[in-house]
Amino acid sequence: MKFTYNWLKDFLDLKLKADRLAQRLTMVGLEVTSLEQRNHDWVYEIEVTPNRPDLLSVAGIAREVAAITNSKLKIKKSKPPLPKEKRGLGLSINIEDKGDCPLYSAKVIKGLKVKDSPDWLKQRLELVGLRSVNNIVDATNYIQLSLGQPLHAFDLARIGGNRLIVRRARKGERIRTIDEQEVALDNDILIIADEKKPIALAGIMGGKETQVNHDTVEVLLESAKFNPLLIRQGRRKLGLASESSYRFERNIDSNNVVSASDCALNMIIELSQGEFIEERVKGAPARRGEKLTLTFSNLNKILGVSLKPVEVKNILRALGFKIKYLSAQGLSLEVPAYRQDIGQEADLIEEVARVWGYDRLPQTLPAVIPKIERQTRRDLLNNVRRWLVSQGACEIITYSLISRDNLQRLGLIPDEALQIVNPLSQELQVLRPDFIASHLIATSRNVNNQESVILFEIANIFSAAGERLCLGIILCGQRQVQTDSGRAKLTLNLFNLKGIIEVLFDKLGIQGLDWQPANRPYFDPGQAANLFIGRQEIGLLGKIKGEISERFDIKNKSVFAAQLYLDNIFPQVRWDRKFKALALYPSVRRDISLLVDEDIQTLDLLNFLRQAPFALLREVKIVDHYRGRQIPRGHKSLTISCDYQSSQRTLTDQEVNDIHAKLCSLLSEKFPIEIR
Amino acid sequence: MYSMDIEQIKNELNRDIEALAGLDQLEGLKIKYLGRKGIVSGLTSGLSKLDPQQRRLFGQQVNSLKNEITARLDKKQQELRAATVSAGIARLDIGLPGACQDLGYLHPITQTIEEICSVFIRMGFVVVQGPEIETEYNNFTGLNIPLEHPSRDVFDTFYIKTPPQKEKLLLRSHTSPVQIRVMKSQRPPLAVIVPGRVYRPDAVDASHSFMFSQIEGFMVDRQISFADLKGTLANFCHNIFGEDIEMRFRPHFFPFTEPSAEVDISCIICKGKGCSVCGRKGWLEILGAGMIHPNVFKNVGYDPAQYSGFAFGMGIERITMLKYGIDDIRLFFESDLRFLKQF
Repeated sequence: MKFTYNWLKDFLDLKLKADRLAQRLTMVGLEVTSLEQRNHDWVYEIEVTPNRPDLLSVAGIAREVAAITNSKLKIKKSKPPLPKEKRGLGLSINIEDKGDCPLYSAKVIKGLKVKDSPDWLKQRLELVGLRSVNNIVDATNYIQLSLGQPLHAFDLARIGGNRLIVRRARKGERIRTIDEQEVALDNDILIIADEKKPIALAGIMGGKETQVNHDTVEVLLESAKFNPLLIRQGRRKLGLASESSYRFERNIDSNNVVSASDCALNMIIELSQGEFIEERVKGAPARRGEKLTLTFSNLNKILGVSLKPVEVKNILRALGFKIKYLSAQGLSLEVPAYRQDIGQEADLIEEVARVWGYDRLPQTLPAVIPKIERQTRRDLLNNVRRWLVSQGACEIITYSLISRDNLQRLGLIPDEALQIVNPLSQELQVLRPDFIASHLIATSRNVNNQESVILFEIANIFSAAGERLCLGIILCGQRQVQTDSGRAKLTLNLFNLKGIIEVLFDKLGIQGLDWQPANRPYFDPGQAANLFIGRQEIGLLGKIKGEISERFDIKNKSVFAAQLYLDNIFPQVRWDRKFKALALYPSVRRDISLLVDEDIQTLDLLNFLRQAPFALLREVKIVDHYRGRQIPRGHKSLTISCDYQSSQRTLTDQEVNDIHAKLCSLLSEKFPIEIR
Repeated sequence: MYSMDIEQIKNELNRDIEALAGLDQLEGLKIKYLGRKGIVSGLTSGLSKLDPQQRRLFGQQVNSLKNEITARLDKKQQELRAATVSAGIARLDIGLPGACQDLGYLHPITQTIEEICSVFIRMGFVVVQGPEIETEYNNFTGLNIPLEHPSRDVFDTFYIKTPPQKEKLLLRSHTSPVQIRVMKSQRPPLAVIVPGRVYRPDAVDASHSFMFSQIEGFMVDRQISFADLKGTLANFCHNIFGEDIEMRFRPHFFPFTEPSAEVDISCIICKGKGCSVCGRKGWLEILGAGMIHPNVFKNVGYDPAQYSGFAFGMGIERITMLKYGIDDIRLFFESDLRFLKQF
């Protein structure tokens, strides 16, 4: 809302300087967003919150300023002239539904001259950003800004018949608006019509046909109250908004409808030398004055102060509340009609607080009994983040909304994802069902200027079943390692990804991870695995198909991605670790070197060994693996180390050798392998 | 004759020590003179031919020669070691990079959220999270925001396609629905903070994003006042932005609080003098707050006559941008490592 300092001074005796006034306004909740000195005046722009339609006029702001600065309002009661035709000339107003339009006033002015407005008027309108049109339109705009009541002037000669109808539009009806838009109407739109056709979108915009122009000699001046909801729905549906719809949907004060119309009438007569012929008013203003009570102890409790009753009373009275009864405990009052935002005690408390000054309210710390939580989900998430960072991964945040195209690029079916009804753009049509597309985009952004890309994100992914918290990791490129002979480059592969995940589970105290081959449209077949704990699926990882990486502009580089379902993992976290006594007797290690057919899964070998019936066999793990020139094609070489240990005594070489030999022979009986 | 030999040996030793180049050759010299088949034991081999008197005299000479050689060689060894150590220090080029595991980076938004959460946790708050897909009731109606009212305009919302007979679902446009969830399932006293992602269909530019992060906080008990809100937020501001930061509360309107306030801090760039970041106002708006509206209490089944409480909410991207001087919100979501590795 824009207004000027001089304009405001028309309504009150203001002693405060322009910049001081701006500060004061901001601190009572009328935030001044700009203040400019122009043409010997100051132009203010203030943010009016949606609960205060009474501040959408200079008079309304003057009322507020008077209350907060103890200035005096200038009461201007301009008496309207009497109409020439007291009985009227037969103009009638029909309101189809009083719910849509509780009050409608129409005044007829004839014999007027449409011309340019005087300079003072042009200037004032221009200062607040309005273009001057002609004396009639300018007068309606000026009164709207001054008093907050939207007004409209029709060219009476172009209205068909003698009847004005306020009704819902019928499907198929159309209107051309004053800003040259052809609008199709329906039953949700309230219109003003003559006997044949719509002539205005009620409360939103006038029609082109009945617009006042330089040939106009008689006008019908409309001032009304329309249902705020209806105006809001209508302007949203039509995509049209105006200064009037802005005010109507915020709800105007119906007590102001006729008096604002009187002011406009006076101004039009003065500017155009027209003659007031007749007036019709249908409906009545709303009942005024809601009654409320305020208990001082409530006020003091909520604000944390102890204000004196008289201080409270003075503030409310200055704001226009009629104090009906005052005691040491509280007061009762009547709310002025223009303060539609005041409906309960809490609203009065805010009024007192903001005028008293939020700055003057004390500052204390609440007495809380803190709830101390042991191990929270947040702690877990923070730990997971830090463990990932310690392994070289960078955290990213990517959009939850993605395009259908990107899902298609992954070989997924876009219709299976949750759809947005009102997407902002094609790029943001669906809620992502997984991280892959987002993370390929993130990788592709970095792959050309970074050696290695190791990224992770913790966020929700979405499906018809709901949302689940996930960890996504993606990696691509080369990692540099410092060696004795300089820096070496290691190309990141699936096992770097697996390693990161294994560290994570180790830290979380989760054991018994089980990897099963997986099948996903975006993973290379045979290069993907699902991760289980028991029967619970907790994630997956794999190598992105080359052709899919290319669709995301990652060329000639392998990309590996993993996704872990944190909601399934966190319940498995074990914090009750138990100390195991340090071994008293040394362990003895024996290695098995194997030549194994590629078809044999290492996991099967390990599981077999781990279940072997030897109590002294304490640990089995892969310590080396190799594929390459020195061994036959289609084979891999593995070195498995076996640790033997007793908690009772030191083992002898001989007994370890015996057990180990048995183990080896069990292994070679079970699998077609060559022990070397 | 033997004493001549001893002199010759001493001369030779002098030459040898003189010519010695490094520690590695020292062992050779030790063997040459003192070894089992070395020069000194060579001298003693003729000892049996001498008469006892001469033998004793010569034995004493050989012994003192042996001690002298040992002492000379030890001294030389110490000299050589010292020289090697000092040469070694000169050769260490400490400017070369250390070898280490490359660490990753936490996203600046995560860091800000953590920093803010930990301030409130120290004040006794508990972190709670809520879903991003919400009902209209939790996002609007329960919070005293009428479905058709201009006060909803700032909360433009993404809706999710659902079957026509089912409840309407949306992407939450603020973290406040978690207030409804928590208050419906728990009784006061409550002191809760809620970090999370929120969504609004705003056109994207340098200062707007359709997805961003918020932290919501609220406290409910029998005696919670606006003064408590001021104290709590002052604590927060001073912890996050510094002890010398000033804070002011401006009256504002939010449907779910009454009284409501917007909270400004003195501009952290210009210290309140006025600059381009604060629009020459000297103040930066950082959060919205207020006393929880009695209607919200009624909606969750609390008696507003018994309980009072405050709530506040802030945008994390904005605070992070102010903290680090970041001028474009889109950088947070572009995953550019050149950006992320600065934090």
